[in-house]
Order: sequence, then structure tokens, then C-alpha cells
Amino acid sequence: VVEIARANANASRAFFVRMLTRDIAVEDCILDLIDNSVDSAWRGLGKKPLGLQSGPDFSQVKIEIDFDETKFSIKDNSGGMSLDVAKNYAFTFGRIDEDREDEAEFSIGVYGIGLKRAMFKLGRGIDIFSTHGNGADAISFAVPINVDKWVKGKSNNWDFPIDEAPALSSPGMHIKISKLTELAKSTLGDTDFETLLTDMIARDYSLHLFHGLNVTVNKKRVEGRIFKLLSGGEFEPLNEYYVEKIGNGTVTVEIAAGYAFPPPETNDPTEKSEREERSGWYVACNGRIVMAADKSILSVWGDDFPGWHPQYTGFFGIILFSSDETELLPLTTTKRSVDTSSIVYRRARPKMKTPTRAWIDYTNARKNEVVAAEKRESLATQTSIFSMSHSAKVALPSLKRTGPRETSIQFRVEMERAKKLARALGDVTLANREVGKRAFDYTYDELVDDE
Amino acid sequence: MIRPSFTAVNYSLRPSKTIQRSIVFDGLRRLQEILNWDRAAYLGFGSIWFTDFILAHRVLGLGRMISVEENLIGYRRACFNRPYKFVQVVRGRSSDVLPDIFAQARFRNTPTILWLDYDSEITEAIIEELRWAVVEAKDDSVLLVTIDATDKLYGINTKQRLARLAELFGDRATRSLQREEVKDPQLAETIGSLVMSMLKNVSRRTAKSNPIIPAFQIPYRDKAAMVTVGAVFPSPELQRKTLTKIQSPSWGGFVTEPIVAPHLTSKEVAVLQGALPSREELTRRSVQELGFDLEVDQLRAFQEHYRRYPTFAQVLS
Repeated sequence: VVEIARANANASRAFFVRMLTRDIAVEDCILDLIDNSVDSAWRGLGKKPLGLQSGPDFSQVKIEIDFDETKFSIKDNSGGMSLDVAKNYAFTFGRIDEDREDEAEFSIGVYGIGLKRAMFKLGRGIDIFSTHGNGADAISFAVPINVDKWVKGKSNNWDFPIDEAPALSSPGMHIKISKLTELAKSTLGDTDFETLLTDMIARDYSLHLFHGLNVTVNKKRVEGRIFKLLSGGEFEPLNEYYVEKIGNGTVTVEIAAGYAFPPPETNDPTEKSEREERSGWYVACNGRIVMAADKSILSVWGDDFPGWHPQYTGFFGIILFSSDETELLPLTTTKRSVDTSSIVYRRARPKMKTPTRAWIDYTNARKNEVVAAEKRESLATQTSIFSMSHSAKVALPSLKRTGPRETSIQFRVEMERAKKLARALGDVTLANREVGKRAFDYTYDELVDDE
Repeated sequence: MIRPSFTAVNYSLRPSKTIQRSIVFDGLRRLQEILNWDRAAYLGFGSIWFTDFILAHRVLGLGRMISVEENLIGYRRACFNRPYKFVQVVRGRSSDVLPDIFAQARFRNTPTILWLDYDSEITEAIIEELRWAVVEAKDDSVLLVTIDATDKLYGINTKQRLARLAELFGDRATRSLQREEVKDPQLAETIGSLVMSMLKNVSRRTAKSNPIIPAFQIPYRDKAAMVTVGAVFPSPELQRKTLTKIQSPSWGGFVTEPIVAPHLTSKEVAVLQGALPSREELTRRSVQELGFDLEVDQLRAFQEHYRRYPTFAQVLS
């Protein structure tokens, strides 16, 4: 074959920045930067998987996030980046895998784009500081990136400069971002964002936080969320694990599922419920929750299985995939969903359906036996998923009819009138059903002549 | 049946409300120096008194106005009491009729000064209406809302009030609230700030081309603790100028101490005004020298707002 010319397939820098930052939310970028710090710390702590009951001790690791409407900063003491890593790997677009296999163990970063994408999405003025090693061997440097200037660069050499810099207070990284993008400005300026981010970190790093990780958001410490399931009496949550072999690699899968709180008494769509928001399936990859409270086909709901219904509120399931080969995990690039084409994930889904089905059946039976159910539920206690005993299946009471038959009464009234009645009853925050119940009891006492 | 407020309160006899209104119109007059209000329309709840409508015409020279009135008798009386020919009275609930009005061709590119001057506590429905109003605010528009911030309307104790505010504004916005902040008299300021944050967040989240600039937060009290919150939506080219004006020290739209104006006779007002302005604080002694007596906090309030203090007279015939 005679080659007559070469077709140019080089990407432009601007194109890269644009494409890279397209499909990710600002909060997920921040989590990506946290992942970076966590991975770095994890390497320093040895190669140990992170499960519900065991994992590396993160208690010496500190990640500080600070931001306002004009700037963002994340600082860690995770050991920093060696000059070699900075020169050859950390800033390449896409990971150069072969050379770096041992670095990947039990990490959450997999595509080699998280750091760059996160920084580009947040702002146009980027300053990265790193101190690696201790004492006389410590090496410190800075990587300043003026994005607007860099994007305009014409050469095919996409290098960033690495400058000399003073040492950080402890080995670690400090990333400062200024000249925020419009989206970052409006997101970080939102008065609810600090609590939103805190909640996300509390949830998505609940395992790391439980195992000691320290994270602060604008100087306030993030307390990890402790998921709890009912156990005792006739209730027992499922908690088991198995090992999946794929090629030469292995993935440890841990699964826990059960009953977090009672299902709602009404299915009124105008009564939004925080409990419903928290219910559903959670998926974690190497400890990081990548899908939370899922109620869609991405976990089990719908298709050949019942779709989500508010009646199922109270169900909680979590499945954790851990592997020293990150590629085997069902991660997506944004870490805000699961890769449903992943082999381990496809194999795990039937195992997720069994406890879900048990819960669906229970809530169906419960509808007609609320009093009996509440009595049994009151005998169980809420137990943290970090201290459960092993159980191969989820146990729930079988509900048989006791006592008189019940019925439910539903009606709609103007919201403002409901609030006014609640206020007149002494508590403006009474739930609608309680207002209705008291109105019923009041009328009943007035009008019904009970022998 | 809910009694409309115009049957309960004579609008003209509330001195703190009058002072608050005067502060708002001072601010609007100053905004008018920047914003393009040639075709601007004033929309609000004129009731049967139309006090703010009269000011909108006198002070701002606006000539397009719509007043919304839900109650049938109130509507008929409002039609009867219209102060100017161009004031149109529309019957209905504001959240129902305003979207229709805004959708009309004649309002398509019109800056609006919309004052949702409620007498009630803030409700889910009002919050929804405010969200709508932020999204719909055209270039150079102003949005004002007044609500009742009386503590007992939000619960009989701090716990209930914290829960109720979380219901209204969301847990994220209210989580860090302290018990002190939901007690009278701080509650009015707390609710004012929650409303303002909510308005700002709506503007940010919807990526408005004319982002919101907070301009007014005025707690005041006649009988009930009230708060007025207001913001402006300048066109992109007027953003900077507007911001500079509102951030200047002479901008009076942000009032920290609730306005609690004493009820004074016109004779007392005249005598006190004759002693002002004064570099020193008026004392009880100085008032006694003028021939009568007042509590210290009443004096303080009068001295702070004396330029705006209204004089009322009852005509006995």
C-alpha cells in the first residue's frame, strides 16, 4: 500500500477542555478531587480493601475544603505527589496504565481524567502545590495553570510548567482555584450549597468517614452518615459477601439489605418524604458510594421486576464492590452512576433482587395489618450497618390478621386550611395524617354514641 | 371565611408601615435614575387605599398599573376607589392572574415593579409564587414581598418554628439556625434572610441573564411583626451600576433594627420635628422640656425615622 498523505487527527486543547468538562456537575468535580486525596492517602496506608466492618485506618488523614463565590481550595495531608508522578503521569490526559499498575490498587480513580476535569470545570486560574517526602528528602513544587492562556497555545506539546515552591505544612497537596467559571460561581455561591456538599460527602464517603477520615467543609467537620437497619425480634437484615473471579482478577462483593424505617401510611405525592429520598439501593466501589438511593432500572426496579413505588419507602440496600483492579468495578467516569455493562454488576443484580422482593411482599401484607406490623417493628432496634452480624437472607415477620379489621380514609383539603387546623391543634408541623386522625377522633367523640 | 385585611386595618394609620413604604419608594426613586422605566408597570395589591399606587405615580411617574384583588366586595370597592384612570383592577388570586398578565403581549418586554404586599405569614403557595416571579422578572424589574413574621404563626415554641421554617425553606437552608434566631424580635430578620437567600438561589439555579441583586430588607412592626424583602433584576449592561448604587453607604434599603414607630399626635410630631435634626440623641428630659413625655425606645425610633414620620388627622364632623 502506498501512503499518499496523512490525515490530521490531533485534538485541540480547547476541544479537550470543552469535552472533558461537559457531562459532570460541580459537586461531582469536588468529589473527584476528594477521591484524589483519598487515593493518595490509601496508597500510603498499604493495600487493604475497605468494607463495612474492616478497612484501613484513615484517622490521620485530613482533607480541608474551603470555598466561596470567588474561589475554591482543597488541601490534604495525604503524602503529596512525587516529582516523577507530576512529570510523567498526573497531568497526562488519560492514564498510562502499564507502568503504574501498583499505584492503582484499591483506588477510586480509574480514567486518569478526574483531576484535570475537575479543575477545568471549576475555574480558569489553577495553582497546584505539592510536598512529597519528609525532612531533607522532601520535594515541593507548584504547577500553575492559566487555563485561558494554555488553551490558546498552538504547539502539540501540552506541557504544564512545574515551578519551585515552598514546602506545605505537611506532605500533601493543596489545589487553589480562582477565576471561577460561571457555573462554579453560581453553584458555590448558592446559599444551600455548603450543606448540600456536606450531605453528599457524609453519604458518599460514609465508609471512609466511619474508618476515621477527617473532612472539613468551610472549617466545619463532616460527620459520616451511619446507615441503620432494623434487627432483633423477627427482623434480620441480610449481610453476606462473596468473591467474584474475572479473568485473573478478583472482586469482593459485600451486600447488606433490610428495613430502615416503616413505610409511609399515605402515598400522597404532595407529601414529600425525606425517608423516601433515602430509600433504595446504594452501590459503592472501593468504598466510595457512586449511586445512592436508586429507585430505577439501574439497580433492580422495573423491567422484569416491580418498579419503585412510595409504598416501598423504608427499604435500604447497599452493595460494595472492592478490587485492587479498579477496571473490574462498575465505575463510570463521573462516579455518579453504575456501569450496567460491568460483569460483576450484572452477576450481582439477581442477588440484589431477593431481599428487595422480600421487602415488597412485606409492605403489601403490611397495608392490611398496620397495627400488628407496628407492634412487631417496635420490638426490633436500629443497628448500624457497620456492626451487623452475618446473615444469608433478610428475615421479616409474616403478618397474620389480629384484632378488628381496619380501613383507611383519604381526603383532600386546601393546604392552607390543613396548616391552620394543625396550628389550632397546637402544632403547626403536625403531619397531615395526624391532623386528619385528630379531626376524625374529635368528630367521632362528638357524634358517635359508643356503648 | 377568611376576612380580607382591608376590613380589619385602616391602611393609612400604620406609622411603621408608612415609614417602610417611604424607604422603599426612596430606593425605587434612586433605582429609577439608572434603570430604564419609561414603559415600566407597577403591579401590586392596592386594596381600597392604593397608597403605594399613588406613590408609584407621584414619585416615579409610572403610568401603567394593575392591582390584584381576590375578594368580590374588595374588588368592587377597589374599582370604585381607583386613584387614576390608568389603574386597572383585576379580580383573582395573584398566583392565578399574574401569569396571565405577564403572558400578555403588552407586558412582554416590560420592566415590572411587583410588590406582593401580603398580610399573612409566608406559605408554601407564596414561596412558589416568589419562585415564579424571580424566573419571570424581565430586565430592570423589581420584586418586593411583604409578609407577617409574627412568631406564633410559625409555631408555639422554637422547636415548632424551626421545623416549620425547615418545611417552608428546606432543611439545608435552615439547619444552622439557632433557637434565638426564631424568637421574636429576631424572627422577622431571620425570615427576611431566608426569603432573600431563596430568591438568590432561584436566580442562580435558573441561570438568569439578569441576575438578582438584593436591594431591600426591612423589618417593621405596627401591631404585627412584618418584613419586606426586595430585589432588582437589572439588564446585564446595568448590573455594575446598580450594584454600585446599592452598595453605597447612602443606600437605605437594608434596615437592621425593626422599625417600631410610636403612635404620636400631630401636635407631638410637630414639636419633636421642630427639635430635629440634632447631633445629640433626644432624651426624655428634652422631651419633657418640650412639654410632654415619651419612652426612650419610642424616642430612638422617632429620631431615626423622623423625616418619614407620617402625620394623621381624624376629621371630626
